[in-house]
Amino acid sequence: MKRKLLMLFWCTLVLTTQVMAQQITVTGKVTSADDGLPLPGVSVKIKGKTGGVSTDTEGRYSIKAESNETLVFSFIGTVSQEIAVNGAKVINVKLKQDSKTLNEVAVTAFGVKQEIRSLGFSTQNVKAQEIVDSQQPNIVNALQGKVAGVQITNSSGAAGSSANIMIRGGSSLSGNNQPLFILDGIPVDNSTPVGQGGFAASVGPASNRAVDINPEDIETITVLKGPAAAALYGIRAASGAVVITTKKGSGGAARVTYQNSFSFDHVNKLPEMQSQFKQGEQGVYSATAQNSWGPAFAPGEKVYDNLGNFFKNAFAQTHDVSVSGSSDLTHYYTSASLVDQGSIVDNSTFKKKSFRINADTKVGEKLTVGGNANYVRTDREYLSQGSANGIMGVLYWPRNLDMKDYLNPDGSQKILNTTGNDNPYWTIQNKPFTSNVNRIIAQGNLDYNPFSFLNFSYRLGTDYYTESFKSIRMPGTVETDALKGAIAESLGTTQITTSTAILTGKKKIGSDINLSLSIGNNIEMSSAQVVNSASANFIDPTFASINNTRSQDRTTSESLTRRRIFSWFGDFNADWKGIAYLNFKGRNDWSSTLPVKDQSFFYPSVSASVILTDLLKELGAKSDDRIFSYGKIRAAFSNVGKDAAPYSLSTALATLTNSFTINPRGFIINSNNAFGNPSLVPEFTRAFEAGVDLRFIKNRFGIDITYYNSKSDNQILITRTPPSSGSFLATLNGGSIQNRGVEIVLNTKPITGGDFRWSIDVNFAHNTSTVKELPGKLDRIEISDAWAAANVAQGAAFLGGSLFGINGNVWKRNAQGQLLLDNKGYPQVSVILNNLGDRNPKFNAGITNTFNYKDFMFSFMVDVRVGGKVFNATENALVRSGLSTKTLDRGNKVFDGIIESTGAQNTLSVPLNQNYYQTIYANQGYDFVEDGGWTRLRYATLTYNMPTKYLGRIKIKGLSFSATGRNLILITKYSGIDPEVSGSGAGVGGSGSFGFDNLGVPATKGFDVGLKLTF
Amino acid sequence: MNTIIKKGIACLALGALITVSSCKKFLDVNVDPNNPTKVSAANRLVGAITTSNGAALWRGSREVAGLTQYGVTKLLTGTNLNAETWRFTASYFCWQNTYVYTMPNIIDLINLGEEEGSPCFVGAGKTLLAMNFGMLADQYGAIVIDEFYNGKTQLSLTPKMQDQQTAYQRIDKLLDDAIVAFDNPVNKTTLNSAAGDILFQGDVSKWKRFAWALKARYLNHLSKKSDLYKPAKIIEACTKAFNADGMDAEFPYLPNGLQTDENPWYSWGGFVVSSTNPNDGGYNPRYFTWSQFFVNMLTSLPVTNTMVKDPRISRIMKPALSDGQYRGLRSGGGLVGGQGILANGQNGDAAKTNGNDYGSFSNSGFYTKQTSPFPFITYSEVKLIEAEARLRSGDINGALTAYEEGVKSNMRKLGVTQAEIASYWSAQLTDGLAAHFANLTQGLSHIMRQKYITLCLNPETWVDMRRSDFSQAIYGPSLKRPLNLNTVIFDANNDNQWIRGMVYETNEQTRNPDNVGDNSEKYRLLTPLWWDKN
Repeated sequence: MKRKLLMLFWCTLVLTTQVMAQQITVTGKVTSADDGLPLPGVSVKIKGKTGGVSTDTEGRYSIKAESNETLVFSFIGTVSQEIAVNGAKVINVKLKQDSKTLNEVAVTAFGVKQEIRSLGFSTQNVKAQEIVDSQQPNIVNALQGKVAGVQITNSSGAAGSSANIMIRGGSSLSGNNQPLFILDGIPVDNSTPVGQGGFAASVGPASNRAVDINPEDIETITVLKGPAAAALYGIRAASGAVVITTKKGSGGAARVTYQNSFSFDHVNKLPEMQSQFKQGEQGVYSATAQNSWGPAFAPGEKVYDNLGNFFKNAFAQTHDVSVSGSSDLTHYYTSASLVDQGSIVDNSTFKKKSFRINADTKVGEKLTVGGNANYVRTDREYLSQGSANGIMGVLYWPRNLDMKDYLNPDGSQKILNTTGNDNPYWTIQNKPFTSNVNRIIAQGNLDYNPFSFLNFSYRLGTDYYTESFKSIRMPGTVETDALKGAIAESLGTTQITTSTAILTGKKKIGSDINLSLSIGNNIEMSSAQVVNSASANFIDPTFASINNTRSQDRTTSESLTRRRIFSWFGDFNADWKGIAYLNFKGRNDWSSTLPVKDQSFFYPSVSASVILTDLLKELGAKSDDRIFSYGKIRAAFSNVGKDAAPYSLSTALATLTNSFTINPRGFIINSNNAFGNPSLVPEFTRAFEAGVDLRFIKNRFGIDITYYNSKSDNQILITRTPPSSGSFLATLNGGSIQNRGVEIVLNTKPITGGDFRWSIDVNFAHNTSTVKELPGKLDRIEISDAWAAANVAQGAAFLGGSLFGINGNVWKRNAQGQLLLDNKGYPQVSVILNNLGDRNPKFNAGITNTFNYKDFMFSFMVDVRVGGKVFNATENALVRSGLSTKTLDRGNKVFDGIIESTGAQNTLSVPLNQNYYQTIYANQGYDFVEDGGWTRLRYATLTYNMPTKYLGRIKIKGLSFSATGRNLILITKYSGIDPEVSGSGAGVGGSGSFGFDNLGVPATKGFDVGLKLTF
Repeated sequence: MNTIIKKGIACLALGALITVSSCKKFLDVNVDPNNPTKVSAANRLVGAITTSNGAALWRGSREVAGLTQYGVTKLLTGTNLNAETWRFTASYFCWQNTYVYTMPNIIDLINLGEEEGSPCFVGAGKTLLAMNFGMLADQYGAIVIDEFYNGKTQLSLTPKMQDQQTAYQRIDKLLDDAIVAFDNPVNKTTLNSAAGDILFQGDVSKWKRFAWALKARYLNHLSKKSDLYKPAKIIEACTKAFNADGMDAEFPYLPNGLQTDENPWYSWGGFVVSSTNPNDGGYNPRYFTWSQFFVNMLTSLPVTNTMVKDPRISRIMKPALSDGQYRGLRSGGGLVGGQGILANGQNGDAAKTNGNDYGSFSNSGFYTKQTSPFPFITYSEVKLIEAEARLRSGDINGALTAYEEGVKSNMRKLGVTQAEIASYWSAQLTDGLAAHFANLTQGLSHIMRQKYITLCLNPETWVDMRRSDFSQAIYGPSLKRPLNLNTVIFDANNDNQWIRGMVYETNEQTRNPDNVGDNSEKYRLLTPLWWDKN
C-alpha cells in the first residue's frame, strides 16, 4: 500500500495527431483500486506527446489537453491505463496493482532511492498522511507507534518540550543514543541542550531541535533502523537514521493549499493527594509551614484542590499555506506555516514560523539542478520545573490554603516562610525561561546523467541556527541564590555543513545480472559556539536585564566545539533477474576528533535479499499470487565506526568558579569535564539482522519479522573514575553493550474494494540493551543529568544488566535481606546505591486501524507499552511535603527487622511522623519505582473529503475537514501523571532520563479540528 | 558533450586529490580555542593555592569544625547536625574535593616547574601537595599517593592505597624535596611573576619556612610512636620554620568580588540565611553559634579551670544580644538544649533557648568575616609545636618560652593590645603556669588548649584531640561527647569512645572497592589511625 514518487519514467514515442480542437484543462484524482488511497507521483501524459505532469500527494493532477487526445496514467507497480479525454473536464482514475512487483521505494543514503524489495535490511516508511493524522507539532512525536523498533518518549506536557527517540535501544553508555536526522539528503541537528543557563537539566529542559521542522512540509519519512541500513551515513549510523524527504511539487498547474487546525488540551492525569492532614509541622498546625504535617482537617473545613485548579485548558492553532506545481521540466513547492501553541499553564508557549521553498528543474536532457531553503523562527517560553521551587511546587502547597491567593497588597509574593517555596503562580509570572531560534536549512544539488549507465550527483547543504536563551528570576523569590534577582543568558550558534558527491555506474551482464557501483565523497563540518553570561542582584528590582546589575556580579564564558569528518564510501549492488540482490558497502572516515594516527578508520557491511515468490516462479514451482503473494528473506551484517567528541584527547583548563573550587583566580583543571585521553581509538558497532517479509491473499495480509543483534565494543566512554585517580570522569575506550530484539510489522486489509475499506497496521518491537563489559572495577555507569528526588535515584547502566537501569537508594539490609534498624527502631538508608529497576519496556506496539467509507476516513492508533519502570520522583516530593497518600499512616509501627548495633530482633514501636517520612522514608527509592506500562488511544482522527463533484462548481479543487483526539484514553497502573515522561528531557545521553517522573509539566490529552482547502 | 564529461571527471579527480592532500589541515580543528590545555607554571600557582584552600581545606574543616566542637547547629533536624553528632558516612566529600579539584593542579604545577626550569614552582607545589596529603592521611589513614594522577600517564582506574606510615614518609620526602628546590637559585621565572603567589608574594624564604613548618607539624604527630618520635628533629624544623609575626601561610579572601571570593564561614559555605532574626524558622545556618566548650577555652585557664577571660574572645566571638554575655551551646544539643557544659564541668543554663542568648557563629569575628583569612599553618602553631616537643624532651624552660611566644603571637595577630596581653599573661603566671609545666599532662593541657584557640576551625585540632585521647585532663571537664550521638556506631555507655577516623567516600568505595577494603562506618569511625596507636 505504500508508494513513492517515481522520478524517472520512460514513455514510448507515438505518432502525434494534428487535430484542431479546443484545448481544455483536465483535472482529477488518481487512487489505488486496491485500497482507495490516493496515489501520489503518478505520471499523467498525453499519449504521443513528451512531457506531462505527476499527481500530488493527494493523487490530484491538472493537465491541458485537446478534447480528442488520450491521457496515459502510469505508476510503478501498477497497470497503466489510457483514457480518452472526449471533452471531459474531470477524469478520476483507479489504478490496479501489478501484483508481480511490490516496488515501494525507500530513501537510503544521501537521497538515493532504492526499491525496498532489493534491500537486505529493515526500513520502514511513514507517509505524509500518517504524520498529519497524529497532529503533533514535534515531528519526533509524529513517529510514535508508526515504526517498529522506534521508541519515543515525550518529556512533558509543556509546549515545545523535547521528545527522545531511540531506535533498537541504545548503543552508547554515555553518549548520544538518538538517530541521525537527515533532511533532503543533508544531516540536520536534532540535539537537545542539557542544562542551559547554569540550571540542571531537570529544571529547564530545552526542546529537541527537530521541533523546528514543519510536519506539513514532509512528503515521507524513512526510518533506517540498523547500522546496516545507515552505514553510508557514517559515524552516527549505529543509532540508525531518520531520513526526511520534503514535498517536491507535482500535479501540473499551480495549486494552493491552505490548512489549519485548532487544538484544545487539558492535563490527562494527575497524582492523587491526601486530604486528611493540613498545614503544619510535627503534627501541630502552623500558618508558616510549607508542608502538610499538621493536624487532621476539621470536619467541614475547606480542602482546596490546588493541583486540579492549577492547570487550565490549553489552546493551539496552526496555519499552513503552500503553493506547488510542476511542468515537465520543473517542480516547485513553497510553504509558509505558523504554529502558536499554548500550554496547560500560562507563560508556557511554543511559537513557530516556517518558510520553505523547494525547486528543481531540468537543464537540457541530462542535467537536473535543484535546491531548497527553509527559514524557521521558533520562540518558546517555558518555566522552571524539577524542584519545589518550580511550577510543580503545587505539590507542596498545604490544602487548607488557596494557592491562587499569592500576592500581597503591595504586589510582592505571599510566601509561607522564607525557607519555603515560591508560589507556583508567582513562578509562572516571575521566573520565565525563553528561547528564540533563528534557523536556516538550505541546500543545492545537481544530478547529471551523461550516459544511461553513468550518474553523477552532488549536494551541498547547511543547517545553521542561532539560539538565544534567557532565564530570569525576579527579586522576591525565596531561592537563596537569587534573592535579589538573577539572570542567565546564552547565545548559541550551531552549524552543520555537508558536501556529498556520488558517481554511480551501472552495467548489465547478459540479460539477467545488473551491477551498479557508487563511489562517493562526503565532507562534514560542524561547529557549535555558545556565549554564556549570568548575573545576579538587580539594582532596580523591577527590571530584568543583565545591564541592571553591578559588574562584579557578572560572569561570562564562551565555548566553541568543532568537528570535521572527511570520508570516502562505496556502494556495490548486484542483482539477478530482480530476484536475488547482493549489496556491499564500505566507508572510510577521517575524523578530526581522534588522535592523528587513528584518525582514519574503515568499516564494511554486506547484505543480501531473495524474493522467494519470484524465485519459485522462476523455478516453475508457483504460478499465481492469490495465496502466497510475496515473500522475501533478507540478512545483513554490518560494522560501523564512531569517533570521539571534540577535544576528548586532552584535559582542558578552565577558570570556572563554583562552591567546590571557589574562585580559582586563574586556570585550574576543569574537573567538571572528563579527563582527556590522547590514546583513544574509534569504537565499532557490529550488527547482524535477518528478516522475512511475507504477504498473502493478494497482499491483503502481510507480515514482516526482523531479528537483530548488535554489539558496541570498546566504546569511547566518559566514565566515572575513583576520585583518587585525580578525576571524577575520564574519557577512555572500554565497555560494551549488546542490543537484541525482534520487530514485527503486520499489515492487513480485512476489507478492500467497494465503498468501505478497512486496514490494520501493527508495529511491534521488543529490545534488550545489556551492558556486557565495563572498564576498571565499575559495576555501573551513572548519568548525573538524570538525578531525581533530592538525589535519591538517577539513571544508570548496570554491568550485566540493563543500559536503562535506575540507580537509587535502598534500605540497609543484612545478607538475609532483613532490615537493619537503628537503635530507635527505624530502618536506615544504605549509602550504597542499588539497581531499582529497568526502565526499558518489555515491548512496544502501535496498532493503527484505518477505515474508509466513501468520502470519510477514520483512523485511530492504539499504543501499547508493556513493562518499563518509572521512577516516581513526583510522588517522592509529595511524601516530603506530607501530601502523599503514602503518608496517611501517621501512627506507630514496629518495623520487622534487626537492630543493627545489637543484632536483636526489633520490638520497638516508633511513630511514623514527619521526621520518618521526610528524612528516612523519602530517602529510599524502592517504593517510588512503579510499572510504567500503558495502553492508550494515541490518536483517533476523522476526515471528510468533500466530493469533487460539489467542488468543481465552486472552483475549489479539494476541501476536507478533520477532527482528531489525542491521548483520549490512557490505561495504566502508574499512580502519577502520564508515565510517558523524561524528567531531564531528551538531551541526556547514555542511559537517558526517560522513565523519570520528576516534577515536570504533566502530559495532556486534547482534540483538534481543522480544514484543508486546495484551489 | 564528451569533452565536458572528460573535463568534469578530470576536475573531480583533481578535486579529490586536493582534498586528500589538504585533509590533514582540514581535520586540524581538535583544539579548544577557549580553554588551553597548558599554561605556564606562573599562571597555575594561584589555582594550586586557591583550590588547596577552597576545595581541600575548607571541605576538610567544614564538618570537622563540628566534630571538634567549635561550632554548634541550631536545629535537631536536618543534615547540619550530622557532623556534630558524628553521623559521618561515605557521603563525606573531603576526599573527592582534595583528590579531584585540588591536587591535580598541584601535580601540574610541579611538572611545569621542572619542565620550565623553575624549581621554585616545584618547591611550592610539593609543599602544597604535602599539606594536602597530610590532611587526607590524618582524616582517613591510608591514602592514594603513588598511583594518583601524575600528569604524564593515563589515570589509574583502581589506584592502590598506601598505609599511613608510608604516606608520612612520602610527605616528609616531599617537604625535603621542596626545601631543596627552594634552595636552588636558578629559576627561569620567579614565583610571583604572574602575581599568583597570593601567600607570600614571591618570597621564597617564607615558602621554605612554610615547608619547614609543615615538617614540624607532621613529625610532631608521631608523639604516640615512641620509636619514631624525635623531639630534636621537630625542634630543628621549628627553628627553620616561621620565626616572626606576619609570615603565616594563610589564604587571603577578597572583598567586593564574586561570592566565591568570600570566606565561606561568612557566606556561601552554608551561612547565607534568608532572615536576620535568629529565632526565625528560616535562620538555620550550618553552624548557629560557637560551642560552650570553645567559650570555656577562652574564659578559663587550663589545669585549675580558674575563670579568666581571654581577651581574644571578643576578637573571635560576639556576645549574646540579650545580655551581652559570651555563651555557647552544647555540641549536638541544638538551641533547645540550652547552654553547654561550663568550664568546671557543671551544666550550663538549660533555660537559655532563645536565639538571642547566643552570639552568631558567622560574621562574628576574626575567623568568620567576609575577608577573614584562613590559616594553613601559623607562626603561633609552630611555637606551640616547639613547646610540646621541648616539654616532651624535658626542656621545661624552653617549652615555656616557646609556649609564651606561641600564645602571644596569636594574640598580637588577633589585634589584642599589649596591655591586655600583659594582663592575661600575668593571670596565667599567677595561676601557676610554670609549676604546671613541670607536669607533662598539665603542660600539655596548656599547650593543647592554646592550640585549640590558635587553630580555630582548622582540622589540625582533631589530630591534637586524638593524640590527647580526648582527655579531660588536657581539655578540661567540659569536653564531653555530643548529645544525640550516633549510637548506631558509638557505644552510648562508653564515654571514652571517640571518633578516630573518617569513612572513605562512596565514589571511592564503589569504583575502587578492592583497595578501599572495609569501609563500614563502624570500622572507619572507631579504628584509630596509625599514629593514633602506640
